[in-house]
Amino acid sequence: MLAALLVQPVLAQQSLAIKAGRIITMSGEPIEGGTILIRDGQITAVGKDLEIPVEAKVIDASDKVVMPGFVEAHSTDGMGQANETNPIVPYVSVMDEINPMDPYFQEARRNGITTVAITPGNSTMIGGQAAVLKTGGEFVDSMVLSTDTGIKISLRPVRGSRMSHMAKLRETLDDAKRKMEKKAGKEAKAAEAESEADSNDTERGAGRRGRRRGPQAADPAAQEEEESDDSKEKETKEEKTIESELDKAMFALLSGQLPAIIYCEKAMDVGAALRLIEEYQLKAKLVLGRECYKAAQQVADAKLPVILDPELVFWEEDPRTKEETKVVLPQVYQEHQVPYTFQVGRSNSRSLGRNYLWYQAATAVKYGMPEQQALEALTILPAKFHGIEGLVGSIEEGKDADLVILSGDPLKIDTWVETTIVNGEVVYEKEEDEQLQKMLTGEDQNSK
Amino acid sequence: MIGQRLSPIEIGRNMNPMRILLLLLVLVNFPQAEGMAQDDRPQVFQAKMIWPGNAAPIQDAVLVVVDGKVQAIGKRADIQVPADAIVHDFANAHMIPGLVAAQTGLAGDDSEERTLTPFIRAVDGFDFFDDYDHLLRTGITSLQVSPSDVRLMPGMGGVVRLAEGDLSDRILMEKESLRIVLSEAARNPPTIYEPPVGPVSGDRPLEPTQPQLGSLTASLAGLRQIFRQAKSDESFVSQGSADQVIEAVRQVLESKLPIRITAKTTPEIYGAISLAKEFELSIILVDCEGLEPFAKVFEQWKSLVKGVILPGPIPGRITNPDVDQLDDNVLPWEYANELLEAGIPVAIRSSRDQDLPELLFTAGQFLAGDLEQQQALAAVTSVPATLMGVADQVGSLQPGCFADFVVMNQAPFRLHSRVDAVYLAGKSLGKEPAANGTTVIQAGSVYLGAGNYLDQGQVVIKGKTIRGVGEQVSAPLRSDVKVFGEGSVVVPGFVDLGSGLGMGGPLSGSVSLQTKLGEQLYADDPAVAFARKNGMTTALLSSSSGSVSPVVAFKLGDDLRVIGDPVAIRFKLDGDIASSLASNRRLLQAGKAYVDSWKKYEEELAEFTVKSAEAEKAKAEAAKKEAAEQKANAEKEKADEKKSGESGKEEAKPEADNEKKTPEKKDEKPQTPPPADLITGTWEGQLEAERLPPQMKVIKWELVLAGNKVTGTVEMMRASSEITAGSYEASTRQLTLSVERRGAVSTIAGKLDEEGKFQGEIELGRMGKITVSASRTIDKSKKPEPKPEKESDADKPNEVKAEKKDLPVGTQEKATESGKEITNELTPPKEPKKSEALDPYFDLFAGKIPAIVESDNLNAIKATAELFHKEFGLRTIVVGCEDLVRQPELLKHYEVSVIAKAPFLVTKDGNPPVNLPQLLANEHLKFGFQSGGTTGSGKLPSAIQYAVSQGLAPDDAVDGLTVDAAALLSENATFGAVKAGKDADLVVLSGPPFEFATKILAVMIDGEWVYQCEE
Repeated sequence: MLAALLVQPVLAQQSLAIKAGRIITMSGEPIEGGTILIRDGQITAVGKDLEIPVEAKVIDASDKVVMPGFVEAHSTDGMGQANETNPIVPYVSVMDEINPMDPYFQEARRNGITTVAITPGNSTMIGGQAAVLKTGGEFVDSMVLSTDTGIKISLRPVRGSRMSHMAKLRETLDDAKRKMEKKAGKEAKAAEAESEADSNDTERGAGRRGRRRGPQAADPAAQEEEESDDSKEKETKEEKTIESELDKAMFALLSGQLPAIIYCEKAMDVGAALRLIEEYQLKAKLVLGRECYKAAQQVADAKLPVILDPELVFWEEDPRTKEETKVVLPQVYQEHQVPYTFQVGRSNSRSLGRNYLWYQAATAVKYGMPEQQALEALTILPAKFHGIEGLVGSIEEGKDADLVILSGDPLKIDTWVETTIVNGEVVYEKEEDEQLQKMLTGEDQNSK
Repeated sequence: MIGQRLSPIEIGRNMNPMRILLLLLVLVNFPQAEGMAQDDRPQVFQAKMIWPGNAAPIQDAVLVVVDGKVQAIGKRADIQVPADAIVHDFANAHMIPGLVAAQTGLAGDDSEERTLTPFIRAVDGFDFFDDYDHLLRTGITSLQVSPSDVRLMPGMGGVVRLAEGDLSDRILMEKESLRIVLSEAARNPPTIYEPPVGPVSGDRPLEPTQPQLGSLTASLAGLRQIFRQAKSDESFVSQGSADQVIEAVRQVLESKLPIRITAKTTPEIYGAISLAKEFELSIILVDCEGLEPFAKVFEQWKSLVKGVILPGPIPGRITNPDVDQLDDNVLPWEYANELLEAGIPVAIRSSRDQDLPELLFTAGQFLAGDLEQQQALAAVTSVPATLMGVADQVGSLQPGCFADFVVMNQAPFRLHSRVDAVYLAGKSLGKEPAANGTTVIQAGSVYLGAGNYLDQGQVVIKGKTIRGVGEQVSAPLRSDVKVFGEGSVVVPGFVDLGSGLGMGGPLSGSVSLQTKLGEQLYADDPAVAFARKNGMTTALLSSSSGSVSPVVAFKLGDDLRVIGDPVAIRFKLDGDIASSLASNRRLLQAGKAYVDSWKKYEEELAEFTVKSAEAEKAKAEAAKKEAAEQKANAEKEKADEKKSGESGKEEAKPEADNEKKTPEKKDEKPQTPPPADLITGTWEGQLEAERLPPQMKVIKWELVLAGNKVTGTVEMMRASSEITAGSYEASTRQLTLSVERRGAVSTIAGKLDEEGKFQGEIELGRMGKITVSASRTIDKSKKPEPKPEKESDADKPNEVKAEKKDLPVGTQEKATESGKEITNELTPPKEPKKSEALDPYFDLFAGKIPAIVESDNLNAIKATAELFHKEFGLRTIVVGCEDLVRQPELLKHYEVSVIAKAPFLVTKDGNPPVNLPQLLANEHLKFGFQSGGTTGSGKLPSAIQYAVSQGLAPDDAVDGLTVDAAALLSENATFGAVKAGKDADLVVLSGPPFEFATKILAVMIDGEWVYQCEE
């Protein structure tokens, strides 16, 4: 029933105009008293004194602030199970696990999140492929934005030591590398057609950026390999049998078609991650655990996208002096000039605040992050991290109409998300949010 | 002992002691200087000796560091020091390269179960962000990390630096060697079941169980097969873990990395060598014990064995080898020298990771195997670095290497060698803080008293006390060592036997004897700071007016610690001798009468206690016989018996303190009618809360009932507090006590039961309501006029009297026999009147404190000796007796000491000045000095210096200023001498005492430096 209330039916060809008190575009200066015109789910114009088409439905937000929808750079929510028993599963994809009816999505819309990168969990060594989705939609197919987000690699050993963990990881990568080299050798021998296919490969690789993908492209790497396999099939039948799903995924990782989303639990894992990246020439994004702040300098030098731990502020005890010191992650990374974005914590944590992406950004601002940078970390920066900045992350002509209408200035505790718009559709309205009303009035605490 | 002893040669011919002190001060201040020096300027480190690690030590050496790397090393004379360089001079210290641990398990626990995993890298398990201070502080700057000890081929070792720089600087070698463990530890591998957990899938097939290599022969056979395959098959690509092993080994062989083989016993070593021969491996042998059979063939090892890493014995451990093994229980260093002679490098390692901090000690033990210092040092620095292929980066101080070095107080393998500082890439880790508050003072000589000096002595101080004096004194290694130059002399802190210090001005008014001057001392007196700067550490203070005054003694430390209050009683016997003598006699007589009255009382009381105890005993026996008596009655008797037992014990050893204090309390007590008072007295009980530790449960009350108001103190949870409001309702037997605890009011409320036991509750903050039970242990309720110390005794006569009537005749007779007095007349003795003003006389007449008598002329001095010493038998000190110069032998027949009052040179009747202290010394009189001044107290030493220049022996002067002065006051003075167990009051002089050129370098009071000369 709730789902029916909040997820509205798709209306084709809808035209929408938003009159905003202020538009924080994230692509230039904020516009006071501007208008955003939307058609077919895309922004057609932004500016002052725009002519509103007669057929357009008008949303009057002239006393409100409009921002691009927030982009969550890393989440393991929205799925039934984030981790696998089997430690090496680069071929699985979150696409098969995402449940659009998961309360997470509703919560995300309520908090202004319009785009989210859903990744496998932190407890599987090579945990599978991540995907970027919109938070509005009934089926995964209609939500998906990109599936070449990357393959999750966790450096946290679930069983055994870090040495074994790394050895096993290298073993897998080495194995794949050998096979890939062998394949490349055979392909080189084969024919000129192969070289053509190769150039196609790179073309596709580049072209994939920013292009919307349907669900059939859920595993682009695999698909591609399949394509090339198809061409090879006539020549060698054995090849087909050797190349498993695992190999395809690993090849995609090693060739840089799919980036590695590397989870570092401890500071020492950062070093290991950087050595892996160098050794196997991986494209990588880092998801950093709490303690990784000790390796902030290494992180800074590596110049990689960085997603911080949900716990931004915590106390750490010196093992010898028992002295407690307060660690403020945004401060540390700010000092080292690392561009970073946030993720949110689980709802059962001690502080409720860090369940909200905007709260994380506000916390960072409190500890010295410039406000503009914090807003970027909520929008355009994570979009860039995942190569979707051409589609989302700012209010520009031609971009997806993913917007949040706020009751006041962003990052303020008394500012509410009034309306959330995904692909030009209103997917959340505070006034209609019965659940929120109940929560606020405290009438119905059991329903949640 | 601590620190090096500075022999005159070491100090250097052209360096004076002060300069050395200065250099040491510079050393202490390094960390701050270092912080600012983090620019690109070259840094120059000078030391007495630099041990480069791979070559002979260089005397008077200098090390030039640019960009964290060594640029040049050599003799000071040979090296061109860059003009803009920052120079650090370590003076007499030695520098050695940062130690390199040849093998450690710091990569962490490796829970892998497969015994062959050459692809595992130990560096992956090393946490670069962990805190390695405990190793760095002992000089280890780089180390090898090895994978597991318990598998045959656990993986690849790596070499890392412990700190400083980014990861590329810290990983010196990611793949250093392939480890093989042939020793016992690796011979029990588990059987592997595949897959361990989870579903079977295409890429995770179910494989048969794999038994692993579990014996030496099987291990060697397996290894041979692996090496053979790895050598033969070049184009090897396939799947499966077995092939992965071979692939990994092949890579090792291709890259010509050494194989590090742990081989303890002879067969293991033989196996390792044969493997090396067969496959032309370059091996490093680790932990070899059974080297004996190979001693002759070490030469042949040269091409195969890259080096041998010998294990050091575990420091301080005692092992018990079997008796039959005693003969061939070879020491680790037995073959070190032979290996070296055969041209095989030897490195030394700590056998366990927890012994790593003792790596230098471990290496030092190898000197017993005829290794030279330089070789032993190389075995923990340059040799392991060379074996591991990182010699161009660490392990020695040659140009190009990281400037990782250790500053030591002396040569590395001397006893008490100590790491003073550790530098990584030319940056200091900061100086090690002194441990345990122990200070070691090292000086040219230490004055022991009575003219004896200890040359090159050390004084070890912990807390407030001197713990040892001698040439070599035991002390923790990380003590705060203060080295004073040659010629410096440590003497005890000076005592001023009469000053005006501590009051912010002279004490002019008269002061009665009960005044506690110690409570009125004024710590911020600038005169005190001046006095202690001049070596004064203890001062006496008394009023100069009035016929009698208490004398307080206190330390001149920041808190003006009182050490005796009173420490003496000052009298005045001067002016009109006749009247003065009479008044003094009266004073003494009054004092003596008071003391005697108490003495008598005590004797009587003791007698009474014995008797009453006997009576109690008799009564108790009688009670036992009377079986018919009520149970309640029996219990009461038991309690009584206990009480008397206690008081008996107390009386057995009467103490002066007791006598004084207990009666005071009684005086305050109101007179209450005896019948209803169940409250007044001492109560003991406990809080009934399980969570509290036992000592916190105990409560004690001192209660006084007046009407229905209760006053007194409550002692609870280790805190004592005054009762703010208390009441007792006799009718309901309700007792309520309110006390202030931690700023809040807690109320104890409850009722007394029929036996007078209290049962109630208290609200205690978070702990909520807690049940309190208590019972009166000492009844102080009734107020009989003459009161003995313990109230309980006072109750007894009545009880005894009452109960005696019931006693059977036989018992009564018995009781009568036992004492002279008839039981009915057994009454406690009367307590004499208490007078605080007279209390100090207890100590005076007990000989615990002396009488200090001001007497100016000869007659007065004589009268003093007669009255105080002869007549009253007191310890007597005369002061201000300049007239003694006329007749120094006057005091010959009296045991009277003298305090000389400045000025010490006395001019009488136009004669040339006479040196009073010198005369006293010649008369063998014990004497001390007093300044009689406020700020002038600090001038006392210079006044004495004048006396010394006029003929007083310096040692006599020092004694009079220190040890004798203390002895005048008390036989057991805790100050005044440099001796183990005494207070750490010291003065460090730059030269012999009272020489013109001698200055005060430092002054310590109660273990704290209160003055240090800044020059």
